[in-house]
Amino acid sequence: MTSRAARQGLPVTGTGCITAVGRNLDENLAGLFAGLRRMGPSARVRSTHEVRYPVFEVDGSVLPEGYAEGPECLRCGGLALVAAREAIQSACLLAADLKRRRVGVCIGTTVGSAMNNETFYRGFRDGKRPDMDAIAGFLQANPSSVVARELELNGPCQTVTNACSSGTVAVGQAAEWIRAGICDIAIAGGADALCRTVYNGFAALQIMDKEPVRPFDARRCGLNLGEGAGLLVLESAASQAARGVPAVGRLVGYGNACDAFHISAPHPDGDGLRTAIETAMQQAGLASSDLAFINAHGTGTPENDRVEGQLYPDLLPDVPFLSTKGYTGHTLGASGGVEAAFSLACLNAGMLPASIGFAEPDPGFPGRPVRTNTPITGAAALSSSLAFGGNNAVIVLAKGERA
Amino acid sequence: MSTRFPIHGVGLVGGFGSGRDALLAAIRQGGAEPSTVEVRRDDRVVEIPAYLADPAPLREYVPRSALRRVDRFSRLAMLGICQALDGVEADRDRLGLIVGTGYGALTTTFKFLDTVIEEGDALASPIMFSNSVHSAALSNASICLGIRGPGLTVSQFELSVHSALLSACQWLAQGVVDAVVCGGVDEYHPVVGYCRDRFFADANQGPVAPLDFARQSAVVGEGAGFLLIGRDDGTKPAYGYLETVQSGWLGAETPAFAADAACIVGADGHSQCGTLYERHVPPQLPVAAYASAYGSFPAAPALDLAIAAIGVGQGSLPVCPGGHRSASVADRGVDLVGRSVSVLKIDRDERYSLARFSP
Repeated sequence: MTSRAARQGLPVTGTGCITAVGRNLDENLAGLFAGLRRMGPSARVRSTHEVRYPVFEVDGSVLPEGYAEGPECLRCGGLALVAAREAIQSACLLAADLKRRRVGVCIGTTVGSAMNNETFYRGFRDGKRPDMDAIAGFLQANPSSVVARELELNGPCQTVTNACSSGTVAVGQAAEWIRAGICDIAIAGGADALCRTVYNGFAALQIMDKEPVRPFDARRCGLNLGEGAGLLVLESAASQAARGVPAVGRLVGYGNACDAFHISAPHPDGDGLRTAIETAMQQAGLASSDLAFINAHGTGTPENDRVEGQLYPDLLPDVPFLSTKGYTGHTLGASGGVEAAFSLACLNAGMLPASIGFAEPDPGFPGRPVRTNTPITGAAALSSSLAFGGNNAVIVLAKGERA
Repeated sequence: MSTRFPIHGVGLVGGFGSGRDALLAAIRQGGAEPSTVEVRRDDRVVEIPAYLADPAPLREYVPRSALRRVDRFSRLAMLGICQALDGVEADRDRLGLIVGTGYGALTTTFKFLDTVIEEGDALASPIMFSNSVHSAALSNASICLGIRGPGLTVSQFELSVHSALLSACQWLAQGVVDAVVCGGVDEYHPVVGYCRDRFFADANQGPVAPLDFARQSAVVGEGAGFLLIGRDDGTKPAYGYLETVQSGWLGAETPAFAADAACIVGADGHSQCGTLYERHVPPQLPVAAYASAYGSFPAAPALDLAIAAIGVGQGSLPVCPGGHRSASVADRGVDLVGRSVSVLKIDRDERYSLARFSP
């Protein structure tokens, strides 16, 4: 990696992550390298579909009091809070540090800001007087607001709702805040919870697999839903130096581009994704040979994986890639944050987990994800997210001093 | 942010009609005339006022065939976006789009739930689902208008649009784009009417008196507002400049107003937030609020921002209808020669954003 990229990169001083794999990043990483897939029919989301699609659900007992029950949007805030507290601890930030500095929050989500409470709406439709708790919950649930409120943070607060690219976009936007001097520190990433509305929606689109998800495999036929949160602590170089805390990694590039093509399908040639990658790599000042790996969006849907499996060998030849959604399910707005945390952890571990679920190559595209746990030597990684409506977001992360 | 950004276009739709002239005309007349919506209260149906918007003028910009599957939420946003872009050349590969929304695509969200409830889980509508996400307006606008630059949808309830504006400034300052269309949209749905009525009942009847801060007088509304913001190339823009966007928490700091500023506050007739404006806006500043032209909805600050841009563009801030604050601009407009305009929004968590515009 060029020294210019390392110098200009924004320090990441902490990471936090909760998924079905584990309650924190260490548990997640251990689960990834052990090939752990903890999924099955949902304990919370009930549906009358003939098929009970498997989901990757978080054990709700780890959620803070007041966030485990009630509307799904509140659960989303609870997941964000768990990851935020881990990220802050990992960054060695004390309450006094948070008060002394200007700290922003930027979190991507889908469910966390959706006014779609079905129980409430059924009551409304039936002419009853549905209880207003669901609405009061919605008004309190915005995940960025939850984190800012609970931790009494004083900087900017933004919830990104770009659908499935939200978490990656949130990391990129927060980095821009710090570069512009708007805040010293930002807690950024994604958080999302399983929800009946989303479950029914993806089932209606016929892009959920009744088997464990198989990203990039020839037999893939859809995604498995998941939930969780992944957050990074981004910090200005001045703040990091003043605190004397080594960086877990650095954010060196961010790109965001729209396909302008279709409401629910990616551009078949990956036009927007290509632009986002080129923008992020240019900002990073890196060549593809500098990349240790790509953490692909890799949902397991036929269209998404075909676009990525075609584009990466063309644009970033010989760079190993994987999808971690075989371990976590598709955590939607959280996925970009979760995968950013995974990418840094893998860079620092010098090892990639197997792209679980992949067995049979698809003859329709040349890309093949890693099949086994694979040692890596490079110092930078690219993480990509694609979303409904054709939004594409990419971040490039580099190894830090705290490997 | 301290670099100034020229504003080249404004687009707006709401209870006042569509476009700049309609909004100014409504303000001159003391506010727009709200229509009414029915709300079920206990065992009876009551009518409450509501400022409803009509996206029909979008047909002047986009062929009907392209709008076949585009819902009302996206149409309202697209009308504002098209007006903001009207007559301005913009490279669509270097054009960013940022949409703030508090509620998202409510009607489509509830239509999707209707299919679940009426037809069963297995027959839920895939098209409704795809269009129910908050980013649907961004996606539809990007697809219909060929906007291929970066895209962002922000949902920070009342601060969604101000938060969007902060990101627009960053994209421009860092040269990520040549221009950004930035604003917000929210639509009315009967569920919103019901919620308002449950929370506020008879206090939700208007007329809106936004500067009578302690009185609950909010009237529900809907609409969209967008600004086309560029990078400063020395050419005088039609709508002045966006100078700064400052945001934070009132628990830790006080907004920094310019000494020369006239202030548009986001007071919309909700007393809970209204009193915060009274507390945090310096008493010597002239203050205006325009909610009586479009009502109360999370993305309404987009219209305040548009009025600020129009005001600095034409050199005066319009007369503020229904004012009660002594230093307000209730009875006369404010001459903006030598003045800037600050637009303040405060949310229920006492988080704030202050955007400053200059001629």
